[in-house]
Amino acid sequence: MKPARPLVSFLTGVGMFLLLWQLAAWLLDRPILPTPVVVVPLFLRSIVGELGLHFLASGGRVLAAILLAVMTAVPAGLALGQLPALNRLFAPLIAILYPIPKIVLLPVIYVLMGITDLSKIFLIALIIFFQIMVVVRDEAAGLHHDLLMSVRSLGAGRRALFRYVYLPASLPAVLTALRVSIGTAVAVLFIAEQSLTTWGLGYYIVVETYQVLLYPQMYAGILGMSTLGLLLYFVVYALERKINRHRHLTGDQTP
Amino acid sequence: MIDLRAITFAYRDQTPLFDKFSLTIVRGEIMAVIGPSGCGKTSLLYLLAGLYRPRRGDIQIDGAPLARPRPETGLILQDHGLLPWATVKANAALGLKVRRFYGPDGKHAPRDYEIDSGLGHQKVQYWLQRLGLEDLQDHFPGQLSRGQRQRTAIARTMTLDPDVLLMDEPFSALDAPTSDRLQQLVLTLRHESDLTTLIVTHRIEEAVRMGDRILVLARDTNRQPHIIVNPCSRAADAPQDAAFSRQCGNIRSLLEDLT
Repeated sequence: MKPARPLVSFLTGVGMFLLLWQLAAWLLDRPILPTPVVVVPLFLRSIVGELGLHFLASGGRVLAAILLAVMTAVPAGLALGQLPALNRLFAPLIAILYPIPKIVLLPVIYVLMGITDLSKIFLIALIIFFQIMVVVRDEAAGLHHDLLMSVRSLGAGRRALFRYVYLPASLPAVLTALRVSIGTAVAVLFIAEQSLTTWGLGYYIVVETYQVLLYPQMYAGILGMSTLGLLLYFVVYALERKINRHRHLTGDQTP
Repeated sequence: MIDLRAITFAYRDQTPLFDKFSLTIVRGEIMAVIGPSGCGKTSLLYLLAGLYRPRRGDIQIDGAPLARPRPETGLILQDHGLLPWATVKANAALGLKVRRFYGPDGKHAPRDYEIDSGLGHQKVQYWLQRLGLEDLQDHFPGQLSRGQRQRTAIARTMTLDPDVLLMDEPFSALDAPTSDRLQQLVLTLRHESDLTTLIVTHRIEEAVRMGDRILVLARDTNRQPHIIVNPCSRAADAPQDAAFSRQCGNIRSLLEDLT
């Protein structure tokens, strides 16, 4: 792929989105849908002000949740993937817990963990945790026996196997799982931030703007939340491309 | 010298592949191992590599009992042995990285092993060049032919200065010229560095060409080694030679007797 392509494609997407938005605003012609001509400048002005602080609060929560989830899910997935007996024991439980929409646990988590940032971070981490643990488990279990034997024959014990085989083998899967779960994570953040906090984009959109009918400001908040999701998505995507270089290079075979 | 002393080995719930099986492999010799599939050829390699443990009996290398993979033993498997996400150069350097990771602890790296990343780099470059891989060093295994992957695996092992080389069907699935070149290479390496080499194969001609001695394994439990001393080895251009064909015939009939 030519280096300019992703940027061109991104800008085209943004352009089409703004155009559709403008058209829809003209057609609807009601205060609930202000035009991008009003919202975008407002967004750019307020993101360096108070909206920026809400953005940082939300971003901090998501990043903390991602960190918490990765630090717990990767070791758990590696353990399950390397120890078939452990995996057999837990597989039925994981199969049941995995599809449960974790957001329903919100009240429970609030009661148990208190109304702090920690409870919001924990909830989001819980969602990402299962996604990552399952893919890491499958990657670790799917490593070829001969590959493990070869590396062990080079002198690698458990620690070196982890460092040189299991970790690099599961990293791409971790990133893919992160990329697909970021959308859900940000959505859950939006809901969790609507109550029991005074900082965060969810709070800004629902309490500070929507409830007092400040529609253009509300849209600036929505743009902020979208930017957050988009930013995280593209950062993970870029890391994935970098790490997965060997998967994008196949042809070029010489006998 | 490698000594298998009355070893018994079986996979769970299966009849033993080896029962009180003893074998001595002399320093510097190439032993070819041949037998029908499922006879325990690869298991024998894993046992000698210290990756599997015999249920009874023990294996000694130079008088020291083998309890774990030995840093001086190199194992080269048929395929799948390379890290798919690492370049040829990174794969070739993997063994050195593992040694640096642990340091010269006598378990994962030889006790007298000197960690010198400059020297390590030189060694990797030497073997990549020697094996004709220097132009491919930034390629990934998925971009290589089987022969090139096999050479990468050999480079990775040779950078560790092994004294025992264990190879599982190293030349199978290669086209004839590639396979010839690699066979020649292994013969040269052994000649240069007094490597004790075990080559598992299913091709009789390969066994006769490579092996100073040929170990023929049976499909049933192996209790004693059936060994054919092979004066025809390294008769590189002599597959038409009468003695060579006679030797192949001997092995074929022994294989038929044993299965």
